Amino acid sequence: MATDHLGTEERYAVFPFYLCLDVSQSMAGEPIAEVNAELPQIRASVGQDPAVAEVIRFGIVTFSDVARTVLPLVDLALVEAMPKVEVEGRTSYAAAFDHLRRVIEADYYTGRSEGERWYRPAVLFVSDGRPTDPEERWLEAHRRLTDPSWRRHPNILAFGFGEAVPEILATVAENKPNRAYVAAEGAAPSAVVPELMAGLVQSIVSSSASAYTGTPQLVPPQLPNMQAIPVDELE
Amino acid sequence: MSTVQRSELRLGELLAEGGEGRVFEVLSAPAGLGYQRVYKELRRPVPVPELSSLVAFPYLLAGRDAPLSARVVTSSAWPLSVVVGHDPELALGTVLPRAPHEFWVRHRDGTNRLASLSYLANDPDRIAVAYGVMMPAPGAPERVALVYALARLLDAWQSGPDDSQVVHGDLSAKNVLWSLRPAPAVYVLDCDGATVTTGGSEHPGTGKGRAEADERDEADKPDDANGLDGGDQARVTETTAAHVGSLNGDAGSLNGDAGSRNLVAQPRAARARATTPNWGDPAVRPGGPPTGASDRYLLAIAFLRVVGAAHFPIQGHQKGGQKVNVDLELPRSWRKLPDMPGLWELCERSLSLVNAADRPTPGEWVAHLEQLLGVLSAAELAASVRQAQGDLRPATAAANGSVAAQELPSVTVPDVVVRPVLGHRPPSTWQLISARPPLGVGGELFAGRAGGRGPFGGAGLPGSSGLTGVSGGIGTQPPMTPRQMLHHVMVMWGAAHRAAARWARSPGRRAYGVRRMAGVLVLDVAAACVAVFVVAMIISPWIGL
Repeated sequence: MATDHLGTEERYAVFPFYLCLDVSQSMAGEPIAEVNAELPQIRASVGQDPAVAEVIRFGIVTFSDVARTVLPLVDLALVEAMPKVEVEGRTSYAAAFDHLRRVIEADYYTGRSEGERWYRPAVLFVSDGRPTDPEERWLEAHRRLTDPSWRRHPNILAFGFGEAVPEILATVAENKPNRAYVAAEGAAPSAVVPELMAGLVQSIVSSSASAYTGTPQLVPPQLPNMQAIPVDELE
Repeated sequence: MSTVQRSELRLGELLAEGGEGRVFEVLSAPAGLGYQRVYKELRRPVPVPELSSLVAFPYLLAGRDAPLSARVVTSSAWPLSVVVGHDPELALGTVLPRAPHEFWVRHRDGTNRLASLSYLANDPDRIAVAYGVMMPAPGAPERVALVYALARLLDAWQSGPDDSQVVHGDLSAKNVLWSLRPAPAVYVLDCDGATVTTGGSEHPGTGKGRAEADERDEADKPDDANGLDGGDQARVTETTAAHVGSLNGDAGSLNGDAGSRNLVAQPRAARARATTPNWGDPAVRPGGPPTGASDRYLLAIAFLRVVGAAHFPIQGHQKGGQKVNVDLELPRSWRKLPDMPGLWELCERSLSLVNAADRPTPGEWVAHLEQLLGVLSAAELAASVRQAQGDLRPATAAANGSVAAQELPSVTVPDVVVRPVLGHRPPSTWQLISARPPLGVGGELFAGRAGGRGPFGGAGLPGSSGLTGVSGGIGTQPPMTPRQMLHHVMVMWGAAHRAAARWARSPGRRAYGVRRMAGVLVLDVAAACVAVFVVAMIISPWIGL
C-alpha cells in the first residue's frame, strides 16, 4: 500500500477560470460599462465566500487587436478591487487563443511550483462580434488551444450577443453541447451582460462545489435570455 | 406542533435557493412555533413520517435525558414542524429556526456572512488578509472547544431512545457554523435532510433510496490535468440533491404513521443525500445512504481541519487506496502537554476505512476533547460550551484522567496515521492584490501572485502591514524614493532575520534555519564593516589622520 504524506501545506485542488472578454470597438458604450459594473460582483460572490474562493482561481484576459491579461490568475479572496476593462480595437480571436495558451501554460507551472494542484482550466469566452482576423488564422490558434495532446487544454464555454455568430461560437466551444450560448434576438446588451455575468458567477460557484470531489464538472450557467446553440452530434 | 398547513404560514422574501429547495422567511406562523423562523420548501415533497420523525426526536430524547435534548435544540437548526399542503401524507417542507446572529461574521467590506467552518479550516493569516476576520491560532483551545461542542451534539444525536439515532449525512463546512462569543458554540444547518434511523439499520446496504446525485468516485488526480475529462455531457449538478430518492425509498416510511411510537418501531436506514465534496465519507459508496459512522468520520475530519487550521484533503488519497500519513502541525506550546497517544489513535480509528462501521463514538471524542481542554488549561471553555448547550452539569468522564484508564490496548489502524508535528508554522505570504485601470499596450498589471507560503515571507505578515493591502505590479509602480527604498531594505532585513530565527527554532527546519541565520549574520558583518569604513573615511580628516 503506497503511503501518502499529508500536511498543512497541502490544499484542495483548484479550479482555474479564465474570463476571456472581447473589448473591441463594438463593445463601446453600454456593454463595456455593464461589464465593468458587474466585475465587482464576481469578486463579491466568489471571493467573499470562503468555501468558493478556496477552490477557485480566476483570471481575466481581454482581447481586441491584441490580447492582454488584465487580472492574472488569482485567488479572488485576495483581490482588493477588480480591474476596469477598456475598449480597444478590432476583434482578433487568434490573439485571444494564442494568449490563453501561453497564459495557461505559464500559470500552471507557477501554480505547481507553489504546490497547487489543478483541475482542467475553464475558459469563459465572451464576444459581441465576429472575428476580424482571417478564418484560417484564428482556427489555427483555436486548434492549438484545444489540442487534445496538450495536457492542459481548457474547456471552453462561449457566450455571444450583439453581432456574434452562433456557428462561430459553437466552433469556439468545440461543438460540444451546452457549451455555447447566444443572446435571444433583439435582446439589449444592457440586459444581456448583467444576466450573463450573473450566470457566469453561478456557473463558477456551482462548479466550485463539484471541484472538491476530485471529479469536478464545468457547470453551464442557466441564462433565461440566452439560448444554448444546438450542435450536431458528430458521426 | 408536529405539522402545520402551508396556508397557515405567511411567507416573506426568498432567502436562499439551492439544490434541495427554497428557503423563505416566515413572517407569521401559528402560535407555538416561535419567532425567527424560516420555511424550507423541498423541491420534491417527501412522505410526512420522514420529517415528523425528525421533529419528534428532541421530544423523545428529552424523555430520556433533558440536557441531551437541549444540545440538539441549541446547537442545530432542528426542524420544528412539518409543513403539509392538501395531501396530509406528503410533507412540502419544514419550519426551521434561523441561525442566531452570533453565527455570522462581518467581513472587512461590511458584508455579513454565515460563519461556516471554511473560516476555521484555513490558514488564519489568509482569512485575516482576505476578509479582515481574526481567527484563533492553529491548535488554540477555542478551536478544540468548537470541535468539543460538535462532538457533544453528535453524542446527543447518536444517543436516541431504543437505539434510534440521527444521521445527518452532510456535516460539511457550509453546514456547520461556529461562534466564539459568548461561548464557543456550533450550529448545524440542513438538519431537515437528516434521518432518524432505528435499531438494526445502522449498516444500510439495501441500495434503496439512492440519490441520483451522481458523484463519481474516482481518485483525485488533478495533477495530470485529468480531473476534468472535458465531459462531452457537461452536466448540471446540484450540490445537494437530497430527497431525490426518498419517494421511492424504504417502504416502511410510506406506511408509517406520524405518531412517534410507530416511528421508533420501524427500522429505517438513512435517506441518501448528496454530500458536499471533500466533506464526504469515502467509505460510503457514491450515492449511497450515509450512516452514523460517516458522521463520526466527519467529526474527525472537522477535528483535523479546525484544530490544524488547514484543508487536509485526505479523502482524495483515501479513495486512491493509499495509506495516508497526516502531519498535524500544532504550536510548540503543545510540547508542555502530556503525551496523548489516545487522541491520535482516536483520530486514526475515526478516519480509517478498514473498519468503518466501528468508528469511535462521539462519546469517546467528548471524553478525549474534554481531557485535552483540561490539559490546555481551558477547562472553563469546556464548561462554557456545556452551559451554552443547556447543560449545567460538571464534566462527565474525562477531566480526572478516566480517559486514560478506559483506553483499550492500542489498536493499529492500517490505513491512516495521524501524527502531531510541533513547531512554528513558516511565515505566510498572503497579500492583498490591488487592481488599477489598464495602462498602455503591454501593461500587464500584476507582477506578483498571491498565495501560499514561501521562503520570502515575513515581509509584513503575519501581523502588520498585510492587512492594509500590498499592491502588486512592479512594472506599473512609480520609481521608489530613496526614503522608500531604505524602508524597503529595512523591512526585508527584519523579515530575513525573523524568518531565519523562526526556522532555527522550529524542529523540522532547524538545519535550514541555522544555515540561513549564518548567511544573514555574514551579511550583517559585511554591512557593518562597510558602515565602519564609510564612517572612518568621513571622520578621519577631522581627527587628523
